[in-house]
Amino acid sequence: MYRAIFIDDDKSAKVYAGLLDKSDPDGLGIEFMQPNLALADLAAKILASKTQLLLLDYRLDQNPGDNSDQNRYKAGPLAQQLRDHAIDTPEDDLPIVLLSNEENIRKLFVPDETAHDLFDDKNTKQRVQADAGAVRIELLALIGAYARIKEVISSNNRLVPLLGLKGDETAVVAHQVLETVNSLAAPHLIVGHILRHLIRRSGLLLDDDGLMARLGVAPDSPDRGELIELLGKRRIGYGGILATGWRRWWAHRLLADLRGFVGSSELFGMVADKRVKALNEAFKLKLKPAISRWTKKTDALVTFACASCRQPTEMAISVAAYDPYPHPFAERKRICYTCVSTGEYEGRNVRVDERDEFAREQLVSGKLKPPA
Amino acid sequence: MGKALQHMANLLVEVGIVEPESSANVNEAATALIRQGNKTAWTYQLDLARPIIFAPVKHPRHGSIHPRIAAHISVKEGEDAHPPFELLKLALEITDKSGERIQRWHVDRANKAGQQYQEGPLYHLQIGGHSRGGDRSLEVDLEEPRWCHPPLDIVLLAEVVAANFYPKEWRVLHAKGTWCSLVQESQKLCFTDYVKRMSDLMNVGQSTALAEMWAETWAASTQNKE
Repeated sequence: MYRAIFIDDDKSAKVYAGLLDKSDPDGLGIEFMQPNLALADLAAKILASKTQLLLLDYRLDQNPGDNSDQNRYKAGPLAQQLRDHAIDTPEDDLPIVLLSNEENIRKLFVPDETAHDLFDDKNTKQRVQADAGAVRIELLALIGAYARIKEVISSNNRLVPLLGLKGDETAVVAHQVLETVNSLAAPHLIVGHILRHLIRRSGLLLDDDGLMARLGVAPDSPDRGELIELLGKRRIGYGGILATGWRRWWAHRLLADLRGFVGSSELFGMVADKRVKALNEAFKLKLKPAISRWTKKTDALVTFACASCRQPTEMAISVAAYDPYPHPFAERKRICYTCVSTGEYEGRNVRVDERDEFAREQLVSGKLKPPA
Repeated sequence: MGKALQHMANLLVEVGIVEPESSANVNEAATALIRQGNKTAWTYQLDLARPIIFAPVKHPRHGSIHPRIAAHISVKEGEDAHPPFELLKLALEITDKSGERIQRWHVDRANKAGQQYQEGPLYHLQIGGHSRGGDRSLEVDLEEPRWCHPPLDIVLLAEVVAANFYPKEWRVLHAKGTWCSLVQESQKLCFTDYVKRMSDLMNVGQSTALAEMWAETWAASTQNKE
């Protein structure tokens, strides 16, 4: 069983440790602690415990307990202390995940960008209450990733083995920003880099929404589960670090494999209903084609998931979303015309890029409307 | 060729006539090419679902027009007289801001059904092409003639679009030596054999140049040489 520590100054938060705790050989045992120590002492205690993962509430300073002058610090400085130590001693590095209430994450953590790189991930307590199992799977994936990175960190050729690629597939990830992984000093830097530039970026890898869009399949289609299973058997899935927590699909494998399997090099250039017809014939399934939210038809050239509603969307009827990391290999985020015209995208942590401001105005003012 | 495609996309984005989204689309095709290695037979594909997307151009009637280009090309370089294309399908689609097609052109190698080529020059330029979802009402009534036209690849078609719709930026591209190098490489690939055949036909005996460029005739003459 893997071991984790959850630190929160509020004793009642112990309930979340209980929700995430699962006692079986591949499970996660969680020890709850309150931060009743000076920062350096608490960091030393965590390192001495050899725990494999640390969960931190953002506000550790509201109930400082004994010696309250020294014990007023938030999660950021504690994480910074541990990260500084990890740069010199990578073998002691461990995943650090924020576990806080939604309001603290939104109002305090999100604006504090200097603290973002200290944490591998963030989770709300509300999400743990709703689906502790899903959170646990991601936490275990992080533990696995750190262990795997520690096996290869002495090598200067880490990227390809960490991503589980072989042979000529190395060309797929031959991009400078990804190859930086080969020289980063500690596991937390590598995990952060791969999450930010590869796993959470559609392009080389696709999430399930991106996969459905590339295939032209409606997200709520019948036989979706069967399709996912069949694609998994065809070895299209990503199998590198973090894969058990974040399911992804290699785009290059998807294109090459299905063009051959379906017997049509034009498969991904077909409109959704024809694409799905070809897939149904090849896989003997009853998939339903994606419907364009703009035209309400199934004859759209859908190819990506809208950054706002996640529905399959066409390049031609979408606007660019602001993208702080515009890598040449990464799919630029785009927002469908429907989400812009209805304002649905607002509040979903996505903005229209300034180069498409004119299109946004046309959509919002109703000058650009769906076909009658 | 893979690195050439990536460089083409970078230059087009850099001068501001191609949307940055295109980089990922071109990268997908380029990576597939790089993985094929340094061979004399190679193929690449950019679907119209993920094309090279040019920046909007103002238009008096449509408000703005949006050119996009797609390609599916298979090359087998050899010693015969053909331009070395086993497959050549290039499409230029121009839509309005709502994504409705205004115009579509394509440069193709003639289709072959069984042993029979379609009527037309082996390499031709044609208006129209199948619309989405088989909605024939969106297609032009008449797609002929197939104009005798040299083969183009995606670099040469990108230059046609740049020159016609973005002349100022096209001149900036031309000031960059690497753009001209890219185009020259593509010209060699596409034009060398075509121009030679056309030149040889200037004094053809009982026939005409067009007849000699016709798919059946050209293909038969190549087979005879072999």
